[in-house]
Amino acid sequence: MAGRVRLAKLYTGYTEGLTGRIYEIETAITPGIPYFDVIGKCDPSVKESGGRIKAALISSGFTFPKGRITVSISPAYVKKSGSSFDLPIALCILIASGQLKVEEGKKIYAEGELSLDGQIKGTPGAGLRLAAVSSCDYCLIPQDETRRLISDLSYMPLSHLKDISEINIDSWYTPQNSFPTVSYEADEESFVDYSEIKGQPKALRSVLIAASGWHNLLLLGSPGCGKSSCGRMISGLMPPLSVREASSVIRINEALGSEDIKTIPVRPSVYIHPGITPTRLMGSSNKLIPGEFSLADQGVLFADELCEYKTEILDLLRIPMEEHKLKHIKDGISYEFPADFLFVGAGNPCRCGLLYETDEVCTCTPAVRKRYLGRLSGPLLDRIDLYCEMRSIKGEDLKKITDKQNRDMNRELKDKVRSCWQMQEERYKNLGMRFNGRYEGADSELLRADSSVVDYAAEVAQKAGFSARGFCKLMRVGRTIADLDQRLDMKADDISEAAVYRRRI
Amino acid sequence: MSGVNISDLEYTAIRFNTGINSRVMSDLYSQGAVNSIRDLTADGLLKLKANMSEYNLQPKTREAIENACKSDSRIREIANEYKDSLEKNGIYTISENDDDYPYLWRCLSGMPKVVFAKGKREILVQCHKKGACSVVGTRKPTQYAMYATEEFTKEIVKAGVVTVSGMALGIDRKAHETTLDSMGSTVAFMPCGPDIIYPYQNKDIYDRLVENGLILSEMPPGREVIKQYFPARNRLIAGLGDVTLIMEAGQYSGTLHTASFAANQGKDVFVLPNNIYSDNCRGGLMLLRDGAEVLLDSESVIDRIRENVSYRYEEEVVEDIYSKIKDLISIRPMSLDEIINITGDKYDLITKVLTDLELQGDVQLRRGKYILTIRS
Repeated sequence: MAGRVRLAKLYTGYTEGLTGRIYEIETAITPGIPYFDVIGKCDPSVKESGGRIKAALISSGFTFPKGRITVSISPAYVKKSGSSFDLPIALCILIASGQLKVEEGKKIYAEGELSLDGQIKGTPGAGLRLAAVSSCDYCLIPQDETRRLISDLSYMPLSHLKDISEINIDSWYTPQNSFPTVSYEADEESFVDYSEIKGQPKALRSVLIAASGWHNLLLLGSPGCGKSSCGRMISGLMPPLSVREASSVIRINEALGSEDIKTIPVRPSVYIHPGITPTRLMGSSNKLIPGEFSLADQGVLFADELCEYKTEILDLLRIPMEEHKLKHIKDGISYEFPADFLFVGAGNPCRCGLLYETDEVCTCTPAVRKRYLGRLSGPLLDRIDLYCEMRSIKGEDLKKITDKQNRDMNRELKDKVRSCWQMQEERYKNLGMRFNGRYEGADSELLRADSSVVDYAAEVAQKAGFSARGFCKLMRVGRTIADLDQRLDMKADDISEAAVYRRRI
Repeated sequence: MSGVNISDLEYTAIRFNTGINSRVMSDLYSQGAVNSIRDLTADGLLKLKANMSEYNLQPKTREAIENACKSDSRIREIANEYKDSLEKNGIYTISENDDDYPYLWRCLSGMPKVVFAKGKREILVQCHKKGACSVVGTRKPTQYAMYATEEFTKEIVKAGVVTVSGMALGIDRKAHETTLDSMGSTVAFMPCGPDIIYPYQNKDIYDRLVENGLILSEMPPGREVIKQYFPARNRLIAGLGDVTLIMEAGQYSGTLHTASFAANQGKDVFVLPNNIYSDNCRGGLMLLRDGAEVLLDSESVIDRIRENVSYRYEEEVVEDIYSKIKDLISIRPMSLDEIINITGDKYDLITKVLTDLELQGDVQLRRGKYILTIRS
């Protein structure tokens, strides 16, 4: 034995930001005083894997080889952490020590954490790592990571080291190729509760238009008038995540290191409040952890009490609202995080919040009122398509609350939104977008507005003193209203309704 | 009400081919010898001659009737010629006995009792219900006047108003063309028979008018253009409109005739302010000096037309939801939600009404609620 170096090599994955990469693990067992070391810029969570591996191998009936064991993870210049290297290192040791035989030149991919008794556990970020696996002959992953696959892969799930039953890998390796088809359909009745918004048809309609055409929305009204429940409703009105959307949502949750592995992804609805820090919003460039902006991707970002935010935070909002993504730079490499969300803002119309109320009187002076709403900068408001006032429900409105059953309404509205999305998908399929709210132009042919509609919109825009962007907003909101009606051609009435939601602050 | 009425044609034949002129006509009417144009046919004329002694008619009138009676077969002949020509050219007559005979003409004296028409007859009803606006001006307009004509015509047409002009080159042509382009209704008064295209350069407009507009003339078909008749034609243009817009007029322009007819008929005359150094604009500016209204915005013109229309015709349907909402808001300021909850009307109807009212400047949103605008 003396003088001989026994080597083994296999592959594992590691993520930075949202990109998984394949890493190489090499193990050398050389004669000498027993010793275990992992090299390649590893932090303690990797270094201490030796203890787990030794115990796991022994309790699963293998022997831990004697001698100097050096594990090298390459590329060595990247900082690594986490426990997903346990299983590949253990397998490497088994191969190097001759307890597992693999044909020369065959590639093995493995990942997973070991417990002391040999159980194999999944670790965060699995989805992103497994998406990077392309060509390998054997792919071994923990059983509980299988449901986090976001791409097609041939693999064998392992739950315990004892699953390695024979010395020859081919005799027990039975690959599976099932890409789990999970329906992301959320519970029908969850999310949406209309009781607070009944009797406020304008708010309900704005919410419906926002959800249908992906239009950013600003709700202004007194405290307790139902703004927050409007915000919560929107993501519930949208269709369940498509496979593509779901994979984006899973990726971000994976990057966050979310421990909650078993949840089926639902359309995100992220609530932020005025006390939030820039790092929480943007994510950390240092650790490459996504922030609330990215967590709201494919869903709704609901900013409550919008006028109470610090101006720096409000300025931050503009970046994802304009670019629909964020960039983080770490070690000279740029990492991109998606942040494609529907923005819903809610706020008081004035400092006391009673401006729109009927029975109570607002006590703010005009100067105070102006300063209060003045926090919201022009560029931010420019990005908002729909403005809606709300007030507390009383008197005549209460009669309306008993109007329609929640259930029927839920189904009816959801169906409308769904067919609206289909119409838009068809319209923008050549433009690489999906929603009216994301369309920046006003091509009358694409929007199917004849000259009378365009003339009317121009008249409204002119009388309301709109910029060119305001005119485009009017056109695209009008288009969504036509879509809600399942009409191919726009009418002037669509524009007159759209004008009701125009910006007035 | 469609088609050709032979007695109308005989009347026209009498008026254009015998000594029975407008003075004779007014004598006959004032003495009660004739009650309607239906009494003035070849047969009616003979009957009238027999009963002439019963009325206290002037000698000249008696003479004219006696002369006319001599050529009664000629009158029938001409009427039949007209009839053939009408049928061949798709022309029909409108007489004061028809329901759609312009209401404004009934109130004025000196308007033709029978006119020849080609095109969409229902435009006359629209004139009555929505109002009409005469748009006239020089045949050699400046670019500025052309631009203004187009802009004002568009706005007026959008309000449903019919434009009236004379199918001449320049401003007239522009007014017709813009109206037709905006899918509006327009009426052209010809200085000749309705089957004759004058000026011939406007054949394209003539064809479009036949299709989507209305061509009127008091001249029988086949009658060629007579220069002297132009002012008489202008009185009809002024007579059919509720207001008259003078886009550009030189010092001795025929447009000024239209303006003075309009003023004499008690119509409002709006004049587009124009370059004081241009001779071609002088006539219009003189009108302004004499107290014509300045054409500044289309709203005031449309308001004036609406006001005139309201005296003769009350719109039943459309107005009511608008005024209902205005009444509601006048009680106290109300949000969109409250309006919907109280009226129970459909959401898209209310939003349309509110946006329209807002565009008209009748209501505005203050503190999240709609209020009536206080107008100074």
